[in-house]
Amino acid sequence: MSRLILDLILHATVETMEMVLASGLIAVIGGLPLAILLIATAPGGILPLPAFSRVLGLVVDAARAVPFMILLVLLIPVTRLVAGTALGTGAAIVPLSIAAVPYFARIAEVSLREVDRNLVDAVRAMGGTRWMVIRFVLLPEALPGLISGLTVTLVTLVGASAMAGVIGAGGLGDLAIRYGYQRFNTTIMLSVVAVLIALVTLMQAVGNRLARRLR
Amino acid sequence: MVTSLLRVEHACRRFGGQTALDDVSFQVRPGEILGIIGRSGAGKTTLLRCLNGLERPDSGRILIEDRDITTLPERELVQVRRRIGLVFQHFNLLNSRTVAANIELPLQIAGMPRDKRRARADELLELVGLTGHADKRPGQLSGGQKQRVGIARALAAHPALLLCDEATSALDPETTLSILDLLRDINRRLGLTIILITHEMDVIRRIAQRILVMDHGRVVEDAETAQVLRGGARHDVTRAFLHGEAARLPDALLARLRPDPFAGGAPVVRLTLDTGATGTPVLSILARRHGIDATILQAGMAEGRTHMQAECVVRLSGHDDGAMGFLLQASPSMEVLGYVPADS
Ligand SMILES: Nc1ncnc2c1ncn2[C@@H]1O[C@H](COP(=O)(O)OP(=O)(O)O)[C@@H](O)[C@H]1O
Ligand SMILES: [Mg+2]
Repeated sequence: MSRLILDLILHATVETMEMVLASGLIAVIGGLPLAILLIATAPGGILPLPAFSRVLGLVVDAARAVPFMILLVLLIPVTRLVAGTALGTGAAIVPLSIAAVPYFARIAEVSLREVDRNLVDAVRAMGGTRWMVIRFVLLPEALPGLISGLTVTLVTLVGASAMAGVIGAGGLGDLAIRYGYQRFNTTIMLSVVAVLIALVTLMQAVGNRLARRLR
Repeated sequence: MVTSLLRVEHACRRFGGQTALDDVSFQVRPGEILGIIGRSGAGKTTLLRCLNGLERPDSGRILIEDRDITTLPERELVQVRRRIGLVFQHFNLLNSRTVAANIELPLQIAGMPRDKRRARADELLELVGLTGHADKRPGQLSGGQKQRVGIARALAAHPALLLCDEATSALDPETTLSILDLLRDINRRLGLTIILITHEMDVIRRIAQRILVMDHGRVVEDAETAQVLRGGARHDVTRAFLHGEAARLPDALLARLRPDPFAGGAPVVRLTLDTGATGTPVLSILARRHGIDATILQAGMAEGRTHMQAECVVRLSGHDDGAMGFLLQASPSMEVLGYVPADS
């Protein structure tokens, strides 16, 4: 394999990682509070507001229902507004994040919901506030599940970021399409697939180990 | 002057069509151990949740240290809750924290600085006999040890009242005894008032000075434990609980056992007696001084607070007040199980 191809792949890998990690971070920053809000306001939660909870749930599901390809195109005006351009790695982070936030929110919600209700009651009975319930019970007790959920989200983002290559986002997907699909360069195509597999396997291994250590 | 630590007045609570609490009234004196017994669904947990304000009664008042908590806003309720320690059936420990950090939780909630918290946790670990387990996770402990952590945590913030909801129901009989011993020890040493909820008469018999029997959301019996065990139960549900104990008796005896005295009936009593050098020859004295013969129907050893005790069920040939008084002195937890025809 030539030096040039190696450079291309390395560069594309870094771009992919940038997109995945940046949108993963935003998924946590946006999705986790959303998940907490969903379970806190659900019936029997620490701040029951059933109507609000239902509307919020609908919005989250609506965002998740749109296929990523379509979201990508739909969001082009928004991306232009936020990133100044609809092309490149920076621009791709906008639709990736918008897809990842509700995705992670629902996954995190499941982990948070699995926390024993009696633990919440125990802290309330000790005179703990709602905020203390979130900080001392919900987040730490759900942490292993949240880490697993984040791993799943990041892996999904690797795939989605490759798809974003279609609109010229850069990264491994972009590389595979430009060289592999349009110029029939099988070496690059296969190399990209190998790197993607390695990337996903590595992420999953790290995530599993972290979650297990915390359990 | 606070005369009663806790006073419940005509508390009612309904869930839809279901009445969980029906005109419940009672008082708790400082320093006593009160046992609340009732079948599943009798309203015990609902009562307990009302006592710490997790649940509000629909009507009635609940006064803790002369403050009515049913009308307190949430913000002030938080202060009241910090005066009440809670021990749970399933321990409710956080697995994300070490044992010490679990004990520190109420103190952290109250805003105590870290180093003071740790010192208090060490103190409590010693009190409950878990020195050296501070840095373990709850998952590494046995059920009995977990409950000791639960008790230590409940005591951390120097509560005025300790509420235990089925605290021993998830434990085996031996561990149950050690946990009950610990609770009694805490009651004596710290003068702490304890309310203990259970569905087992054995738990009441071992540590509660006073018993409250609940049935269908109502308090049907409120009496000294000794009095109830002596046969002074007024309600059928109470007798059913006492009878449940007697279920361990031989079937042939049970079949003839009747709850109330009748002409020609001989009382059957359960005695718990000290053994060995410290014990008095109770049955001999009963025969010589009171002229009453005792036939042993069942006997065994039971683990007492500090030493082994003999537990026996005997049929008496008679029962005058003098004899019963003597027996009660020898065996404070004496219990009249019922009456059988004298010739059996
Ligand atoms: N949150 C609730 N919603 C509806 N019904 C309840 C609720 N809590 C308790 N109950 C009902 O109230 C009654 C008393 O329950 P509980 O206090 O848990 O009894 P116990 O602890 O003595 O078993 C039961 O019939 C139960 O079904
Ligand atoms: Mg209960």
